[in-house]
Amino acid sequence: MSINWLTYLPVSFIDPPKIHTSLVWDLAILFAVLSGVYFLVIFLLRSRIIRRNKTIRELKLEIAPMISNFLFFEQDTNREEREEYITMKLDIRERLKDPASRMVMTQVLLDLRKDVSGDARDRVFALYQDLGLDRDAFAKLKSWRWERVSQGILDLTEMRVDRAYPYIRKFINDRRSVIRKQAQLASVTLRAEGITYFLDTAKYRISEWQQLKLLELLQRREAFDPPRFKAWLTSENSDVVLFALRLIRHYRQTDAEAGLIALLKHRNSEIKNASLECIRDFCFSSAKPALKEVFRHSGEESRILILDALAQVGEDSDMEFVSGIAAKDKSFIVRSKAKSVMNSIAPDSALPEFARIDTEQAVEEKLPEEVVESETEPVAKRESEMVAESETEAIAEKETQSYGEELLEIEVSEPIDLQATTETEETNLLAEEPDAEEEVHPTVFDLDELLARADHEFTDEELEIFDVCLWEELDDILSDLEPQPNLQYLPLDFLPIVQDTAVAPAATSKAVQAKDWIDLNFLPEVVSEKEEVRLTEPVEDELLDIQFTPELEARENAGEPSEPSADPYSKDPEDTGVNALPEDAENSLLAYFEWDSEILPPENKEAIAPEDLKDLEVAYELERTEEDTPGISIFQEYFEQYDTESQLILLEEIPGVGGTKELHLLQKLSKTAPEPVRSKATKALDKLSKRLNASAQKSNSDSQ
Amino acid sequence: MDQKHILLAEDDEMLATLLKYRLEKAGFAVEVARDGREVREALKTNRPDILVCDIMMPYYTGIETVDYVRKELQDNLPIIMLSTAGNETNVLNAFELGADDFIAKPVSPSELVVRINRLLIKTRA
Repeated sequence: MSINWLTYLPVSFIDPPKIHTSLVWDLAILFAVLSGVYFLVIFLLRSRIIRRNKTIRELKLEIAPMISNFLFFEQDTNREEREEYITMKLDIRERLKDPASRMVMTQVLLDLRKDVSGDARDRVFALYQDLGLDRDAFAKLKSWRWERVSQGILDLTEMRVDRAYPYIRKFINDRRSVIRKQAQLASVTLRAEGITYFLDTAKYRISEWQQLKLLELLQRREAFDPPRFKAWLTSENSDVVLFALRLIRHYRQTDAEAGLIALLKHRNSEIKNASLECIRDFCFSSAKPALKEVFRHSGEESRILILDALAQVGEDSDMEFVSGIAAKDKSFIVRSKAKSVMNSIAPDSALPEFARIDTEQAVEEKLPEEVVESETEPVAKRESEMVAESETEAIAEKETQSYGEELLEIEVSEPIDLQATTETEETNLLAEEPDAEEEVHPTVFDLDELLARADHEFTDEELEIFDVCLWEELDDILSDLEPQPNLQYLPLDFLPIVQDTAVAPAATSKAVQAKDWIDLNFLPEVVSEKEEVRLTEPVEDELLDIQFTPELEARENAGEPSEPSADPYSKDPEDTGVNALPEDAENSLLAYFEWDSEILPPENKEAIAPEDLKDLEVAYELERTEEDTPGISIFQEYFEQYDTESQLILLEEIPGVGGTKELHLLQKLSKTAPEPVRSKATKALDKLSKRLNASAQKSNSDSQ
Repeated sequence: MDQKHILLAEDDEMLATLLKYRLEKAGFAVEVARDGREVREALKTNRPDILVCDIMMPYYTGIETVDYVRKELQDNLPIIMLSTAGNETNVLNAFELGADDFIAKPVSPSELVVRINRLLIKTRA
């Protein structure tokens, strides 16, 4: 039973409450009515505002011509116009009874006041008061709402209602700042004595902005005779004193001298500074003792102003005081100012002082190595000194002289051998050796150094030196950039990185020229040998070391003496008798045949009989076979890199041109190469062996 | 003596009414245009003897109007510009485009009358 009670008890808690549907309906109707009322009120207010604006616009259109008529009515017009004027005046009086019309008329006149000037404006002011619209403004002054009071003061001020001055000045010390400020401006605007009353009675602070606005109003006043503002230098209100000081300065009332000097001891630093500015501007020399007296107890800003004042009124007798400040004051700005004041009092009395620099001694102390190694250090060091010590001219002079000496030293110690440099740079171009650049470009450093010092002034002599060096460098660079036709077949990527710069350059260049004739660059080992020879041996040795010069041997075989070559690198065979072949040409009959068929002139070709060529070939091969190891065939690279079809084509050609190296190559291919290269190589091996055997037998029989 | 026709381009209704009244009182026939478009229409329909034009106007400013008169209409119509004081750049622009005279706001209606008369005499000469 208890279980049932516990079970069903919670169920009773979550039963829905009974809702009175009638109440819900009542609330719904209530909110609907409220929302309807809300929208109705909004609609009515909006309609009212629109209707009011429309009325105002219409009233303005009606009133504007009337006001214009009032403004420009002249008594000397005809009778009809006068009658029209009187009628209009009666009409407007009737309209003034309507508050809306009054308001519109006030607005119109206030707007017109802004748009017109001269006599029209005066007439607007007069009409405003004549129509009694100022009474509305006076009524606003009695309002408890600050914005209405402020608006009333503004209207009366703008419409120049002079008799409102006594009513407005009551608000000068109003606790509400907006009204207070408005009243201050109105008092100063409406009457000349307004500023006096204001300065006499002002209790509250006068902001800087307010002071500026007041000063602007005073400036606008016509025929304004400013009062002696020194009377307010003793005011208890610091802002009044400050404003008076500014007015004294503005109107240059120098009769306030005693008061201004006395204010130097004022506790308020703003007042003190303002009086200092006045003393400075008015050049009160009588203030000097006071200035010196208060200097010690003044802040940095005041000290600067005191020094400014002393610069205007100071004499030679004050130099001791100022120089003491320049030497001892803690503030750098004050010290700097004191120095400038010294120059103001006695021009050129405080010149920059620095130790004279003995240029010759400085140059002697500087070793040439130091000049080269620490090219930028002196510049940076001197620049920092220049900033710290303010020795601009001396440093510039020192730099100029020092640089001149450095340049001369560099030129003397490292004379430029243009020819050697050019030739060595050719080598560098081939070798692309960055390490050697410093050695072969001794003048590049000079150029960089000059560019690094471009910010400094140079003497004419240095500029001439610079020009010479520049042109030399430019020529070198241009010669480097000139394309060398002999290098067209010479790839540079495989050249050795390290190069001996002591190599005779002539040999290198001439060896390079020979590359035009036979291109064997595809053989790494040949190239390395070639490079070694080219870079390490002079050209004479190279020519002498040539083991196989076909034409020479042909001539020897023919019993002709070999003629010395005038220019072994000339392309004209008649001049040389032989085209210079690189030593690696002897390793290849193929190269020989190419050389022969392509380059050798026809008459020389005829001079060598085909039989002789074969003999030469066999003799050469035998000689090489005896002396050298089989070596590597020039075709090997092709078989490593080329496709099968190319290899088959080569195998057809090798029996006709190959030698012992090719025998080894073919033997290797016949064993290791895949089909069909292997079978083709086997056939080529047979053919080549037969040809070489036949040649050997023939040579043997000939020798026997 | 012919009554001179003045086109007064001014968007401030009160000022336009006042100036119109004053100018009519001085013997001119005054047509008022409220914005730049009305000025252009008025210039096309009835060429005035002088144009008094405010610089700040809706649709087309006074400077654009001067440019329109000088370049598009190619008319040497005398033009006096009205502008608030301190708007020196606009005034200089207006003079560069061919305006003949300038009066700063707030305007003195009497001064405007004098300037118009002087400019008309100058133009006639």
